[in-house]
Amino acid sequence: MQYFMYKGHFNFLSQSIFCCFIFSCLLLEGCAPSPLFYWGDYEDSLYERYVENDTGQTEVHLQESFAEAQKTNQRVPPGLYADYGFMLYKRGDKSGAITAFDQEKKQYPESALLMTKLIERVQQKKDTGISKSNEPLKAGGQQ
Amino acid sequence: MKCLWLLMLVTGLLTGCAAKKNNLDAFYAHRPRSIVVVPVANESPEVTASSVFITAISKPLAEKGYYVFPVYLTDMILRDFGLVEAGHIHQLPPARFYELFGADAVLFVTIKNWSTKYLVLVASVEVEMEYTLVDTRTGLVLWENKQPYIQASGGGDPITMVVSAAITALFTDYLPLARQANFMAFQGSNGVPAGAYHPDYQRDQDRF
Repeated sequence: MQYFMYKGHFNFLSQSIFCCFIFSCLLLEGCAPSPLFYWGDYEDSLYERYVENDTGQTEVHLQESFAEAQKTNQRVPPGLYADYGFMLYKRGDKSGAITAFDQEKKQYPESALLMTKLIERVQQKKDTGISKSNEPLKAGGQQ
Repeated sequence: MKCLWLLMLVTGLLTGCAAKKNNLDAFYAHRPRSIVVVPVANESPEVTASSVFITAISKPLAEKGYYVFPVYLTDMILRDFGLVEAGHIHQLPPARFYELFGADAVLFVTIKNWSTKYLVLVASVEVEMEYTLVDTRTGLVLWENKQPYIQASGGGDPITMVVSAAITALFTDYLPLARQANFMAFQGSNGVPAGAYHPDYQRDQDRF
């Protein structure tokens, strides 16, 4: 009888531990919802560009983000394709820039107005054969 | 007379509470899908504050379900139009940001404080930002918030305190604080309601 009581007590204890474990799992899950997008090194890449004034690694960071997002079946965050397109434009790859701007537009229709303007501008430069990559990329109306 | 004082006190307290809560009527009436974050105005003496801060704003805002225009490209486009000064950019008519970017709303951020204060053995690092989200079609303020974040280093035994205050003095990393402040500004009780890419979209009215 005493043995059974002991066993019962033990069961109660292990059950409470189990309950606590499940509960804390639920709590943790509630606190940290899964991110909507795959960010990779995006913030670091911005830090390099803004604070360290170094654009050398930007392309690599962005390409890695795209590859990893695809591999893990996650969404590429807003703005990354557009950012990439601008990088490509800056180094003279106009066709690549147009493709990237188009990708941004397809994935995020909110960007359509800006992307369409940018594509038009790059297209114009491509047609007129201006290869100067530092040419400003004015996308808006008149100032 | 006593009663009157009590009544005034209670009324004062109540209005104090009510003023803290955001009025989101304009927000719900216009419900932005896309937000352009323009260069940040800096009122602190720390010159690098705005460039450090801008790197930490896209992620928390996009994770709230909004299309956030890439900040670097935004900056470059504004520069091409000769718009470099944040103070000047913040004064532009909001409709200009619709013309330039097609954005539903524009987010203006002003850094109010970005500093380290030293006491004898403890250093406290403080950041404080003011956020204003404005509708680009009507110019109405959709949401605003002010978020301070303070972190004190030190505490514990005196040697650790001296060392940690010295480290803080040598190299103050404001970035984690800016991230934390942004997270709290958007996710906290005065945060932004979820945007269209978030599963809570149109389901979180009772939270704010």
